[in-house]
Amino acid sequence: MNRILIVVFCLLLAGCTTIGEPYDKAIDDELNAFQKSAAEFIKTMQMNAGTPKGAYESDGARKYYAGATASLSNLQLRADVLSSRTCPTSKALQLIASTGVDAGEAAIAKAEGQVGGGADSAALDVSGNCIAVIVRGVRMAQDNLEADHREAGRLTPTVALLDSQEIDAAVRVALTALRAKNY
Amino acid sequence: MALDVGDIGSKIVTQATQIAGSSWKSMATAATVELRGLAQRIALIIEAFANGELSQARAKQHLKTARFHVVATIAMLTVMTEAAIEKIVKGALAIVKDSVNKAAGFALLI
Repeated sequence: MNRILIVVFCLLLAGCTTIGEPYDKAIDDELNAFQKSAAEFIKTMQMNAGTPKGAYESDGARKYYAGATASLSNLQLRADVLSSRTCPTSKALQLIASTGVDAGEAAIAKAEGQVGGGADSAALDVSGNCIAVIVRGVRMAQDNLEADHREAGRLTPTVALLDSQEIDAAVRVALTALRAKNY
Repeated sequence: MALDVGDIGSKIVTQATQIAGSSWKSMATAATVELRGLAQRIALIIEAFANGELSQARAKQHLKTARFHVVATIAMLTVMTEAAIEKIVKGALAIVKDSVNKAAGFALLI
């Protein structure tokens, strides 16, 4: 008990109580705005699929993709400078693997078999602090939406649903992490 | 007024237990939501690939994103754990500050 109190007194004197990344309201607001515009855009493109208005080359799509790319690029920058540490995700993944808990790996590996092989061999970029890593996930989801739209020329129902869910999940993880520090 | 070290310690431990319990529940809920959602999206990738809506290259990229989502979820849980520790430390500091100031009879620690 006395040891705990000694530690508490030291912290009190040092004024040191923030671990990792602090809360950033600008990132919170921007993530909300991005999710809303993405949901609206996907719905509009889906409703207009097969018409010029729903095409990748349409003015609406060009405007949305340019805006979303700029907005997420700025978000990444803000997240990158929140702290200079490296998020310990690799250690956490090793720890999870050592306990035998399957965090989705088996399902992903099975799906890779069904589509005819794994993704490209380039390792996932897990550099930077935890919020920076999470924001990178939002960018990946947005990049998928644009690439799917570009390749097919329109957003088909299943792909629209998939892209929408990917963006929602990535934003949800980012907001949950960010808001954990807003107390 | 004398400083009751035993009482301060007990208050810190009680508060820390409450914060840890509530944080653990939030983390378990968040992790469950993400892993369930991931399973649903993997099913959608397979469906879209099977019905020709996604090419093989695009399906593989979506699976890579699924793999990254596991990493992002781990990062989220890391931040949530750190937030819980911060809350415990800040709560303990508030208890100590309050007790010291009461014992001193004036605002010694601000």
